[in-house]
Amino acid sequence: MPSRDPVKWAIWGLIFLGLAWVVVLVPNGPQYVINGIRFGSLLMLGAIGLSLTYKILNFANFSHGDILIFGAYVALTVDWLLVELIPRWSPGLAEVADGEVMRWLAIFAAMLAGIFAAVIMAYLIDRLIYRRMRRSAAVVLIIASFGMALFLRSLVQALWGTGNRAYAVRISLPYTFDFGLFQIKMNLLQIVTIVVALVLVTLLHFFLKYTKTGKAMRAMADNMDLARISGINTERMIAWTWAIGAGLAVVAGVFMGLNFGAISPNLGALVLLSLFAAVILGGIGSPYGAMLGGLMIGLAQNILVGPATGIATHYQPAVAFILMILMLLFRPQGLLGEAERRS
Amino acid sequence: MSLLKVENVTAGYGETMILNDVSIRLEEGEIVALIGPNGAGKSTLMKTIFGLLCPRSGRIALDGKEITGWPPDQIVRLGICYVPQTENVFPSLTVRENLEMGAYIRQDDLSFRIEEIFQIFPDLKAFQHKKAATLSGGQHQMLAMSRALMLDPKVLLLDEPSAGLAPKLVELIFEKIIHINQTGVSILMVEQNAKHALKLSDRGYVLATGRNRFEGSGNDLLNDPEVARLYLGG
Repeated sequence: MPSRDPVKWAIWGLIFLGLAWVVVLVPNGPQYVINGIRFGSLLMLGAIGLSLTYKILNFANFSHGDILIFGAYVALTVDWLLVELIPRWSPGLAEVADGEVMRWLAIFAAMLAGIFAAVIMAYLIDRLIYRRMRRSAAVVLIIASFGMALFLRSLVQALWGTGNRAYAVRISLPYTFDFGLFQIKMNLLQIVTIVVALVLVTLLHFFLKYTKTGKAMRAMADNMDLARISGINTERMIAWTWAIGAGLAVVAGVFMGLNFGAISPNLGALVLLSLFAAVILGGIGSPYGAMLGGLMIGLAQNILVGPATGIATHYQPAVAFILMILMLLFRPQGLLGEAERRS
Repeated sequence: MSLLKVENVTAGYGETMILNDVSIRLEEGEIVALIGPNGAGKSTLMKTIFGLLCPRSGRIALDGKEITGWPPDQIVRLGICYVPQTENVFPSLTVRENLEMGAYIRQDDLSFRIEEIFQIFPDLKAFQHKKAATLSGGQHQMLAMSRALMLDPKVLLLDEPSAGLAPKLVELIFEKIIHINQTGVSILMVEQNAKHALKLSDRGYVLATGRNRFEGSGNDLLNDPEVARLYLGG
């Protein structure tokens, strides 16, 4: 019975107490919450793919972060090209709002190109490598995905170099939202980040809940053999899984590049660790758990270190790991996961 | 020509062969029971027929068409459906979604067929928006059979439909099986509840250590002293 699970309710209690403490007692607290939601919504998008492949293909995909960064780099090149080319095609458009509209259009078009490239890459890797290992032990697939992670990172380094690269978008000045007792400063980029993540997560929810393909994906995650004997083409569903996971990861990657000011080839591997923490926190194998976990890790990293507690922000990654370890100790199935039943 | 024919099939996992040279057939309109001790290979035979396991040798034909080595999602298109013994519903999907998945290969509107299924299993209707994981044992088994019936198959494979159910529910499930058979579905079923199964079956096979041991009409097997002594518990 989920309602009689004291550990779960204790965790929820801690989360709400923590949030209440920050909002009410910490000076400038609501601002940290907003920062946490912004970063958390990116982790949320990244974590969904990790969770889906874990549930459906039964292995922890260590190359997920590098798929994310590969797509982000493809988007970087397309973005750069578009910012060069749009003024030649349409000088008028390039001048609207001092070029800002053009830059936003370019980044969204570039993101679509990055998604496309990453989806193709993920699909090809699956066809060429993982497909031969469908019946292998999970550890074989994990090692294979390690190999793919190194391959992708080296590919990115070979094509784009090892340094930091930035998108051609200008960060506008923040708007101040005044709620009387507290004020929140957000610029357009931060608002767009949160809105895009929420829209995509909502779309994914409707896709999984109401479309035939979405239902078939959930059915397959429940029981692969039963899905096959029901006539579900499992290979096609696996392709969908890769496409959704890689696509959302690239959106996360591009927005990380925008929010952090730059991307580097190692960013994927760094982020992967936070993504794993998110997936474990929420409950491994549940896409909704991944969303919740991403948000929680983002919030924790922006609230538990930094000005609110006086701990240096260098410890941000450590927060993710401490939470992950605590979760594995006290509730290994995660917040939304169900205890493993052995039949 | 038999509706379903398994000829000299040898199959297993890796190097271990579970089935050795097994042959069975199912004629149109029949109920055929497969009985035998645990580990005799009954469930393995079901999986092999449905393509979850590829036979090492032998052939399987449905309606005269050879399906040996076909993948399950192709076999299901030929009008044969299968209810595995365990894990035979999608627990995180609702009852209705389970039924929709049963007819995944159909492109048209399923609501009419779902209503027909609810007439066979009225208990399910009230639970149609509940997750399958929340169902009781009897409802679970009814949903498992309903999922397989969604395509209105010619052949239904049932693996231990009465396993783990209370006696009253066993009775109910067997009634439903007879009813389904009367609507024109030929049924091949594995049963632990051997006496009961043979009583309602047209024919039966006794499988032991992966081989055919006995074959006959349901009554003949019930009255065979050796079958009774070895497999029906005296």
